Amino acid sequence: MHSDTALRDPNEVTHLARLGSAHAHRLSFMRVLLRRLKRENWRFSRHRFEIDASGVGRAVYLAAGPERTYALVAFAHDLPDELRSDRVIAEAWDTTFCLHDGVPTDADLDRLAANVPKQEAGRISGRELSLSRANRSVRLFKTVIDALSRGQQPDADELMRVGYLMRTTAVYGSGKFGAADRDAIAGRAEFTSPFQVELLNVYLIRAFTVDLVEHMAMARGGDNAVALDPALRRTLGVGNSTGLGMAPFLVNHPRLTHAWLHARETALARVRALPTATQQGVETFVQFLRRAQRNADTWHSEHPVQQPKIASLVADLNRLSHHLDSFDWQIAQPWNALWRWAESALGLEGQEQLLALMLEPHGVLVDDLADRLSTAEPFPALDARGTVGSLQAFLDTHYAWALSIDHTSDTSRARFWYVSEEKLEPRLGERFDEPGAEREQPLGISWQIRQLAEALAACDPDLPLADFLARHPEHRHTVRRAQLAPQHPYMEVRDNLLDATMLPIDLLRVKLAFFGANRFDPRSDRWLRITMFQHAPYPHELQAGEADDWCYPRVANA
Amino acid sequence: MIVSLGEVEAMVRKAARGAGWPWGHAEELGASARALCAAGFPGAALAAALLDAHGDDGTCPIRQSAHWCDTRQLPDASVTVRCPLLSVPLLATVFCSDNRVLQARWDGAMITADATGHTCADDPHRAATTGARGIKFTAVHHTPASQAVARAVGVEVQDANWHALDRHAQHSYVPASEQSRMGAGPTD
Repeated sequence: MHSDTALRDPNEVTHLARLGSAHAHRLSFMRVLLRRLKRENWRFSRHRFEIDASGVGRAVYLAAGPERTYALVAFAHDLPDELRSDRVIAEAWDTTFCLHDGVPTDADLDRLAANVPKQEAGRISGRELSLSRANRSVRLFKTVIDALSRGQQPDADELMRVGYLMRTTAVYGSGKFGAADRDAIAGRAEFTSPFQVELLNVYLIRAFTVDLVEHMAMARGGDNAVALDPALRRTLGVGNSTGLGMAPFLVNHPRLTHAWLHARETALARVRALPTATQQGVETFVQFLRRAQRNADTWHSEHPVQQPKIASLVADLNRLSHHLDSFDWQIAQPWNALWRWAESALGLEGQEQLLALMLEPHGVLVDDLADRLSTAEPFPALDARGTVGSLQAFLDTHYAWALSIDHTSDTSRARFWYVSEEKLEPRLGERFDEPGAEREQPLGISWQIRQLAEALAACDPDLPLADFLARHPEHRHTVRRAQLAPQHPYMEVRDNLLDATMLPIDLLRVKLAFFGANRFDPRSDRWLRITMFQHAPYPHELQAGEADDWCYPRVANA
Repeated sequence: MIVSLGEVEAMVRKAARGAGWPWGHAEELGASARALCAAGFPGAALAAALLDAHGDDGTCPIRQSAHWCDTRQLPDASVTVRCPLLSVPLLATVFCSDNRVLQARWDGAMITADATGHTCADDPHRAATTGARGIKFTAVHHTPASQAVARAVGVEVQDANWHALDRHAQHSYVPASEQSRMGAGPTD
């Protein structure tokens, strides 16, 4: 029996500053994916590689699981430097990809060749599960090819610093641009955890990027060329630029948000409830602390918001390390004691990193929670059987956090979320300076709850809710959403998402941490770069090696 | 064109919003169109027809159905709603509990829906009418058959219907400006 007691209070967990300090952990989706690929003995092959010396052509990589085979179809282009842009409004990319359901035929490849390079302007089909594209890291891509073609290895420090040969600028799944709906594949065991399609796509892209530079180096250097050293290759992941497009996801999928946070919080509670710590568990924890320290030490960002957060993390981890020097692991519930200490001794960055580290030695105890990361999201029925008064009492109970936010000032409603006519991407506007606020997206939950509460207050408390909704259909979506809250206490970001001081990168960070990214590098308050699968084994290395020991860089004796 | 069910739901929701609908009803129209498409009916075309018919004269299938769901009471008498098939998925979510199915009849058509989303019509062409009078909705006891629900993977939508929805959806977007591009994110 696991103890699920002592889950942290949603008021503590789901405010933006803490969500924006989230770290990857054992239940992060990339780690769930690689554990499965190894456990199920997936087989990988380079099915086709028809690419010329300049890096133009197409390739197909196969991933074969126990029941089904999937194919990464890659189209490599020769993009002039002036056309290369990471913005979602770009119209050309160095490489475009899709994940195909099965082994593609020649006809499939011709169909995909006519559509995948166009990305949003093309159409894929229910045989495709994901659509994506990537741009080269211009400097590192050339540097690596130059070195390998001359028979030399590229500079290890530079590889580590940049971290990737290509960065994806969008990875679409779930029915986008004609791809298969989530419902169509949700029953497949390999896709029960979230975003496994998209991350399998990225994982195969990573292998392709290294094959591509080695191929181009070979074409240039001939017999002089060498392959990339396997140890250096490990230091390369796939870069990713993530902007506002990802930010509304958590608000638009409250049941999923709850599932992710609830699984993570349950894992933490299980570890805290352990009556004792094993010697092996402590040793593993300390090793991972050292590696997390190295990760923090090598985490650089030029962004003024991120720099003090990294400094805080470094200081917190040092404090934790010193605390462990005299920590008595023989006391009852030692993990809980450590956590209690951290709650007052460490900042948010340190606490959330500690959470991830405490899960590391306890895979047997917590990894089953990966099965709870997904949830069906049927269209929720609205229950209007109560009265205005009963809904008021409901809001007082479940939305006290929203009702406590002061929405009277202009700064509290300074922003509005909207969908841009250009590329149909979510953006953030200044309500009182820009046109378009009348087309606002309903992401300001606390403001909507406030407006609902005010409308309720103007009515007779005995008025049937059905009559209220007939008179006020503008509040219908808010009521429907709010009624999910009792069963999903972690579903709301308990902050004002319209406030002038709100940082969208906090929303991006928590989502990307659940993906399994670390070393977040914000480039503004609304987009950031990360590296995915850095230090992870490559597909051909999975069976012989460890699949789940790559989230932090290795250090000597660790 | 072939579109996914997710695209149908999102497009219809945005189109309804662009046509001035409140978010709650826009969500309901999107969900209804999706459910109909999944069951093989022309949900997107019906949504486009509904949104193209201006004004609310008390015959909106979504607004009417929402109120019947809210009051947990189907109308005793026959009623008039436009595109009545769009009512069926919404009503089925509320009135199909306890081994009941929803039956809807109009113009000689009979549609049956259950809580799993399984929807069938004895005359699919008549079922997909955009205008009908004398519509009768009833919830009747029925022992559900243990049949699997076949759901479409991709659905065919006439270009004209998709473009009609898109014209409405355009009114839910904010035109680009240099200021808005600054808020877009990555700039190299």
